[in-house]
Amino acid sequence: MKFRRQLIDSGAGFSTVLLGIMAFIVATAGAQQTNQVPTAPASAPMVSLADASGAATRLIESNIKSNVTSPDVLNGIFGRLAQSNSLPDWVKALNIQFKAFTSSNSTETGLGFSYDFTKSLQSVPLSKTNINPVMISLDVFAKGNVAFEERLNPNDFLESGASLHLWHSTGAKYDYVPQVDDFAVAEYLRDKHYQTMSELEADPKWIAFAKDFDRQYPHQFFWDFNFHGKLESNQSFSRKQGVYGGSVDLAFRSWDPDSPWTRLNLFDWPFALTRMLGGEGWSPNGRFIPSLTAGVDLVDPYDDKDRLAIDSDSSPYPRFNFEVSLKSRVLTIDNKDIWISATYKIFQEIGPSSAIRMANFDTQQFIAVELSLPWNFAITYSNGKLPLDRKSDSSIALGYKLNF
Amino acid sequence: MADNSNSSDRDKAQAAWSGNNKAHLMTWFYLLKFSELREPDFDRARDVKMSNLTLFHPEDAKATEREAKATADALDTAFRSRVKGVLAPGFTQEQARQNIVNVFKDGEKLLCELGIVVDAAYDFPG
Repeated sequence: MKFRRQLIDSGAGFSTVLLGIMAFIVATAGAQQTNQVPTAPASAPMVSLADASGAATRLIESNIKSNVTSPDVLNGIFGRLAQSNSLPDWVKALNIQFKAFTSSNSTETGLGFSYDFTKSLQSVPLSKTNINPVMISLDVFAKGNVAFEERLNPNDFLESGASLHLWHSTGAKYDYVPQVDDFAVAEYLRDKHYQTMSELEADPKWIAFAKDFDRQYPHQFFWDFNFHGKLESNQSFSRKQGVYGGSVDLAFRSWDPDSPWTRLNLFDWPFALTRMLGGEGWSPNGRFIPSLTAGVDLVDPYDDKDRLAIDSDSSPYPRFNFEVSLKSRVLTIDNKDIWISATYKIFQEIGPSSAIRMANFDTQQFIAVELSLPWNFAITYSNGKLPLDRKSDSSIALGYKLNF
Repeated sequence: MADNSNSSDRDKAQAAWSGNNKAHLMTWFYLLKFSELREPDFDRARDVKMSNLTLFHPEDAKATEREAKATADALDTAFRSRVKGVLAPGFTQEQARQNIVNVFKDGEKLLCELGIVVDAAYDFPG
């Protein structure tokens, strides 16, 4: 279990620290830490899947709300159930995690859970003769965040649906015969027990392996097209909308430090500079190239009351969405890494009515940046709003994580 | 995200973590090469959390999922093309990938728990 507590925030402060200490005591007194919950997810088409996940949510809520106060206790109980060998494998794919929530604008703490169910119903290669075929798979999914007191839910957003994926990775030369025995190098390095990455990276056997690996697999280009239908809602289902569309996930990584992709990764240059100032050589990393998602959806706002109050036209509208994220290592001090991760998302309605535009309902943008510091401290900045949010929020916080 | 790891499962995974297990060894080794992992000592790597991998985005589950899929694919490619790993009986490529992705997405899971999943999904020669 992980608690996040803000130490410094415009609205919190000392009382939040006290709450964090109290939460620590409660959690420490809790039972085991555990795993999945065998709650029945639905197997039917999209809307019934969503309804079923909502019903399951309400069922769990009503059964346990009055009896328990610690996420650890719940995780212990449901984790043991998830170990049952009699449960079908696809039910075990439901990953449920109990949490303590703290609202961003209050010091109250409440119990809740997140759930994340993704199950591949079918997966086949498009070519059975190709060693690296394009894969196609049909998935169902349901995920969200539920607080037993909805107003304490910091991320009140559920989505449930089905998706058809077409995905592939390229970059490796499958006909290449490795000139290095990776097993032997791994065993050799296992026995060296190096203390730092720079020691390992200076080892001649690692260098020889890395060069040979880069000859075979200099970069990876990953794409995943998906066509999806899903229901987006808040946890009480008082606001909901249907979403149908397609998107593509793209990731490019350059493993070879000498490739132009790596050397010209401008996104990592600022952090290559900070690493250099920390005593490392100038070494942009091709792993730190941003990944992105882009897509177009048709959004059916049939029960988005806030929107319909502005514009009574409930017909579906097209929405473009784009997300990009990056993560880089900023610095290593005393063998401890400092990381920065950032995400930017935009949801833009295509051809909105003037009423929607005037109400500022046509665009949602969100940015989050986190600087992860040693000893589980982090500085987090976020600004913007997501679909179904009506107001932008902005916060900056110094926080820490307690892991039990 | 709360810890969703059953303590007895975790204990078993920690006890099972072995440098003589090729699935464990090569998972550690290739994650080092992919700049996902920065723990050069195999024994200490056992308890590295998924949240400490490069693919993990603490504030964005969607980004983590996207990165997890790509990294699972990269691992699969390395296993099959570098050390002649094959899918274990009963596993499809998508099932193997999804099982790995599910571990990656859970920031509280340990590398030894990923090792268990890889060991179940792949067979390595020798």
